[in-house]
Amino acid sequence: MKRNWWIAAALIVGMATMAGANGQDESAKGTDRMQISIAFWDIGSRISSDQKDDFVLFLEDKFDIDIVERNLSWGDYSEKIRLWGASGDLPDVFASDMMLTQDYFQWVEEGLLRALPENLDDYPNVKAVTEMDSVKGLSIDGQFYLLPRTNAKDATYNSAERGIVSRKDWREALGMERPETFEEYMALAKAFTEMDPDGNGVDDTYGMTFVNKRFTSVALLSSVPEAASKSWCYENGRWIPGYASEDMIDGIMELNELWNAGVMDPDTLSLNGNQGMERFCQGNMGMFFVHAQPSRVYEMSRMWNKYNDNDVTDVVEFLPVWTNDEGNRYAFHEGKNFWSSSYFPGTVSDEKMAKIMELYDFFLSEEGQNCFKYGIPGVDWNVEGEDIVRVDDSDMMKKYPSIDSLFNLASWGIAYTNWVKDDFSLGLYTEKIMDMCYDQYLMSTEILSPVNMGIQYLTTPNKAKFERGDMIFDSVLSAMVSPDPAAEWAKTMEQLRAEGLEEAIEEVNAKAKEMGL
Amino acid sequence: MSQLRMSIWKNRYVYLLVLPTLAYFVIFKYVPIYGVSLAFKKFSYLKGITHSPWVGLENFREILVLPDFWRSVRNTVVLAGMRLVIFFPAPILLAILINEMRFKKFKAFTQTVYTFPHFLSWVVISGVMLDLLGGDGAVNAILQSLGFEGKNILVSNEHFRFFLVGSEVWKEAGWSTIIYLAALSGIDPTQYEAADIDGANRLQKIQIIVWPALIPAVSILLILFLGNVMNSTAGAGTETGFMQVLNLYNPAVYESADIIDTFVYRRTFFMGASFGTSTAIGLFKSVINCVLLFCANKFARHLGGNALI
Repeated sequence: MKRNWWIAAALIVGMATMAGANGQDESAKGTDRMQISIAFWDIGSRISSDQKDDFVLFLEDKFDIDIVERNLSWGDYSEKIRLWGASGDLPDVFASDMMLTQDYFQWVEEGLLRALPENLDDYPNVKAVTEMDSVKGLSIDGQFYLLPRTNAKDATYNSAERGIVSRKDWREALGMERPETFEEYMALAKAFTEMDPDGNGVDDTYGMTFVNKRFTSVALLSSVPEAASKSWCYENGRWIPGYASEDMIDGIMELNELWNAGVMDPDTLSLNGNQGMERFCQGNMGMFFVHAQPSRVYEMSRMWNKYNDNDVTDVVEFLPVWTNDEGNRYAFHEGKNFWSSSYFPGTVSDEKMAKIMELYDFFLSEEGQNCFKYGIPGVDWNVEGEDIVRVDDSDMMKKYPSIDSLFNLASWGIAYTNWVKDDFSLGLYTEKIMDMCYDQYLMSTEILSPVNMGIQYLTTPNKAKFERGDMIFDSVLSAMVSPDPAAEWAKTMEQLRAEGLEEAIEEVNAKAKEMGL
Repeated sequence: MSQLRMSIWKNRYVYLLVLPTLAYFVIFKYVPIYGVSLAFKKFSYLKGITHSPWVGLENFREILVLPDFWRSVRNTVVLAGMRLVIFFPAPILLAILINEMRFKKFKAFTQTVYTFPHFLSWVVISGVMLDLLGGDGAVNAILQSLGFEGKNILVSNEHFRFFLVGSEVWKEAGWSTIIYLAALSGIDPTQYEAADIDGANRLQKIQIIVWPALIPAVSILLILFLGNVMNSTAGAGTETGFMQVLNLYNPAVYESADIIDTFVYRRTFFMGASFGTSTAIGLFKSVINCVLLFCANKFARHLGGNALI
């Protein structure tokens, strides 16, 4: 028996020694360099601490840092960040869309988030972001507790976050005109559903699908543009959240009409993430509600090629949202050119923050942007005179997977390239896709959804509780499929009032009056 | 005292074996109970659970006025009732049927087939169910090709609860038979021989030999089932309830399928509700569970069956 004890003891000691040795290895790695942990969507699949690509090593050498990835997935990032916050385990840099939520204000108040340095003169590119019109209003007592991740030159480009791609070949084969009003859209969708537009002799088509279920909100743009754009609106002499507007029911009834007519993808309510794109590319859907950006159309064209022999740009067209009763057509517009930001926890020291700002300033600089586009300077490209000469013109995101995440860390770099025709963007997409999206941008931004940024950024004790983001559209969907949409929507409003919506509205209006908004 | 110490020392290896299990319960089940205090606090990220300020019953007041909360309570109770009536007897029947099989290989094959779905996650099953039963799914396509009207049960409040319970029976009934089959394997074969001699037919043998052998297992599992009713969990060893509903439901069926757990999950992580109110809802649920557990236990004892406490 004694012998068994000795064996057990030896095993335990052995395992402990091995664990200790591993621990020493880990700590030895980061002793000479400042470790910066970064949480970003899907970064775990692009950067691996065990095997970093040359681009990460280039950045680490340049800034004398050790980059550690902390993965965020699109499905659970808000949960993860909340749990990290509660357990005191926030990474040094993390991406989120928590701006103006209850958590954001509580985290600022409790010191979980740290402010950017007061003097940003050493980081001119970072400073330029904080001086943007749509960003200025976000300071709290003169301090910025976030750094917006801008996605376009100005806020109007944000309209491309929503669009409708439609089968031009089907419409023309059916001899129908481009629709303008809701009735014309309904007629086109019905024709797509019932008149065998693909001519295969099988009843297997539908009028429309959505990239995911919450894109049904695009259909609200005509009735309540502010609700579709997640902003506050002025109604009956006071400011209210767009979704609290009396006109909401008109938009819901239109959706209900589309649903009851059977022209909508029957699985609309189960569509999550990017699932609708696959369904559209399989060739059974007439219209597709999706982002109207070159990057997304390019993604769609690649998926299209899996199922079809033709070029998607030859068979589809962009359609604007239908006009409202007054003949106006509104575009999605949040009044800002970002929807997510970078946040830095209160535990980050001044020294580390300075290093992070240095990194961000580089990422936002022309040199940094060129590195993301063309790879490592001196290896993949050189500057000759004023020109960039590429040594290796292969796709840098394939060569260095980390670029796919880091390019988007300080700004949505890929989104910027959507609108700038240069060798890089033309290499990524095609001129045809870029032109198609730019024409859609010009067409859709004739009338932007009204938004008052003063009200949007105004803070009161209860307002943040009602910044529901996309979650409110779940209730819209419940009403859409209900036999009595008005009664179902009334239940949602009753729930919101029980949570204190009226108090929040009163607070906002009192403060707006005080501020002269 | 010294006798107890002696006894412990004498059986030290047995106690050593129990230690990891004991540690598991203490660390993962008892220590986290202190988090329940959050139900009476306003959670501060900075101060943590222990030092967050007390707010009395404020969190409960906040949730009890919400119509969606009461909807989720109603759905939880209704679904639990449906599980009790439809799901609970399913593995018992299945176990009896499997027990009655005479071809050993076919018996083993059947048992494996019925047990297999248990090992699939609800995420996988939700994808399969959508492809099969969705509005554009295979079942509807077959129905329509035969001239029937298709039905999208995944967005129908009328059918969705039956779909939930049905899919749970499909996934878990086979797995849940294991305990009953174990009980049945303990039956002395001479009882069957005696019944044969007395001229009993199969149904009579089930009634006189099989069912009495199952009663202890059934009563214990019924107590456990009722103790977990508010968790919408089918029974011991199954991980349904929250995971099942979360993966299968959609906004169209919140009215009939949004249970307490999914309501808490959405409020906490997507609507930014405080951890305090979420804990309050959890505590509310646990108290009801606890009361039901004691009632079921008392009921089982009253019937003369096995009781846990």
